[in-house]
Amino acid sequence: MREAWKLGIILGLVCLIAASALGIIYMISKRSMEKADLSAKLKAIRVVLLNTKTGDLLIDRENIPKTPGELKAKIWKEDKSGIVYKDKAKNAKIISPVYEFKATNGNEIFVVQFSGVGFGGSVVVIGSFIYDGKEITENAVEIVDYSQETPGLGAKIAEKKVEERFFGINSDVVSKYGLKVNKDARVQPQKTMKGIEDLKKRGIIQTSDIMTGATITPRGVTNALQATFEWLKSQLKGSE
Amino acid sequence: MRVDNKTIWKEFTKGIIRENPTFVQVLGMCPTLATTTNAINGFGMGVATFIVLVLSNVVISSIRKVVPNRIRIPIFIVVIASFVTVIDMLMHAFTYELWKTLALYVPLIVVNCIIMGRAEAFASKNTVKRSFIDGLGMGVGFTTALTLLGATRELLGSGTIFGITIWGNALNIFVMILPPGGFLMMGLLLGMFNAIGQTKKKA
Amino acid sequence: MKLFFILISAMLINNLILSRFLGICPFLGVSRKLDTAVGMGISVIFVMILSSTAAWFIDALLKVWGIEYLKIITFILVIAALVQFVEIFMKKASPTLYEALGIYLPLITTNCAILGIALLNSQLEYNFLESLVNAIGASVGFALALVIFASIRERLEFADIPKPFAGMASVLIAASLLSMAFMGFKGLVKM
Repeated sequence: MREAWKLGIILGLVCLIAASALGIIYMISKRSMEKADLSAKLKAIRVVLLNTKTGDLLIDRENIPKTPGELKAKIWKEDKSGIVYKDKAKNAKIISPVYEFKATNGNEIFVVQFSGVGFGGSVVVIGSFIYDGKEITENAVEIVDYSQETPGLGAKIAEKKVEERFFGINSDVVSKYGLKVNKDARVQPQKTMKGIEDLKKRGIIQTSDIMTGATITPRGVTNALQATFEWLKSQLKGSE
Repeated sequence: MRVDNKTIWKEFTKGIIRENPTFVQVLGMCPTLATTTNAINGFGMGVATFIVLVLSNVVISSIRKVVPNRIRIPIFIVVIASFVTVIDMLMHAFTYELWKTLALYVPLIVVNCIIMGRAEAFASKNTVKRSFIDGLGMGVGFTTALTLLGATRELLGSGTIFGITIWGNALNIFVMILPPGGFLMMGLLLGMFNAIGQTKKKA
Repeated sequence: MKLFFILISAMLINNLILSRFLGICPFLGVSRKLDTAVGMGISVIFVMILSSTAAWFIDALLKVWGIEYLKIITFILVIAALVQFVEIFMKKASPTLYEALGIYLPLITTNCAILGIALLNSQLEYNFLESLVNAIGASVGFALALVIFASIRERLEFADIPKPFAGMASVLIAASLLSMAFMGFKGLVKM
């Protein structure tokens, strides 16, 4: 019995040493980890703040946040729980905080981080939405986390040419038709860029020609995008 | 104890060729198959495992005389898990993109049979110097195997190597990037190395 | 509904072995005979459910104390301790069961499927019930794939295989075909 106690104490001691060593290393590297998280987020925000039609910045160059403090100043809505809004039916979440930027032409731009459920787990998206006082137009989306998706299938969602299929959707279209992927709308995939853009005007997003065999992931993102539109609309209505 | 250069060289190369952890011992298959959808991921995973392997080999061989035999396995686990946690943090801080893609498989280095296997079979019985060399060899062997597997799958599946286009979409054997392709390619490479080994023996 | 989806997804669609590549070592190691495969499968189901439950509580505790960076080390230690505990308990309580499953238990500590599911539950922020269902689904899926594969391998023994491909190479190629078959389950879900 005494032998067992001795071994237990040694093992406990080893664990204690390891845990404190890790604690020290954690404290040293914590700043760098936070910096990495932040710079990834800032990079994505910068990308969605580019006008997808012209490639120009939507806001003044000096207004782009570079430090945590500057980013914090842009917060529009936040929630302590980390989630601003949850749409159970659409499996969508809007992640706190939501940012607001002033566009060069006076419009408001909302940068929203939202997540939908893809094939393997949640897919996190950062999107920019332009509000001109009447309607909301989504400018761009950037898929930031898709690590649960199968490479070659659902993971294609993060390719630029797939992301582009989600660009430029308008709140009018969303409230009139809702958003669907072309497979659910039972529409044949279009071959031309114009055909694809025409589908968008009816709330239909086509990804089936690029993401062969993977419908669940784009459907998850589409649903989450619609939930985000609905949430933004309800928030903007309340504020006026 | 002096170890001459020839022995060191032999110790080092055994991990790369004769006792290659992946192609000869067929160990650590989980990360091998899961992360080799392209060459960069395979290489990244290989290097992360390599670092943990060398460090844990060194530490375990240096404490091998003071560790009570009955609780050596839990202590080895603690040592390995600590190094994996450190690697996880460092990758988070400095190679953010890679860390995101490898996701779950970085913490799972803990249960990679190669590391525990080397700790138990080699480092717990040999000097620090020899364990260090052994870790280097095994690590290089593992990294090479993963990079090779990743590069082959990437080339056949998406027509690129390390993201550089070789023949583009001309030969899109899409299944190679998917899970079945991992098993298939590993089986084919294993068969190929067996064939080479057997012809060499005959000659 | 969500629970059911998690169960089916963990069991068939995202099958641990064939699609997430977790637990390949036992999959290749103990699938030579059907009865050992069944024994391993049952042991994994048993340990996976226990360890996921334990890991969930520990994860919650670590979050409260803000020391999540100790997750890897505590999870693996808890799994190792749990396996030891189950082994001792089984030896005392049911020697027949121990006789049948005992030899697989030490192998389970280094089965990455157990740690993988514990980490996955924590990463996906599943609640307790979801974690449990995920563990059940994943472990049953593991056992299923293992048993199917063992049956295939018993046949493979008698096949006439070109010499370089004898042994592990042909086993891996057979696993590839089974994995391809399991990919068919991807069409199962329409959310």
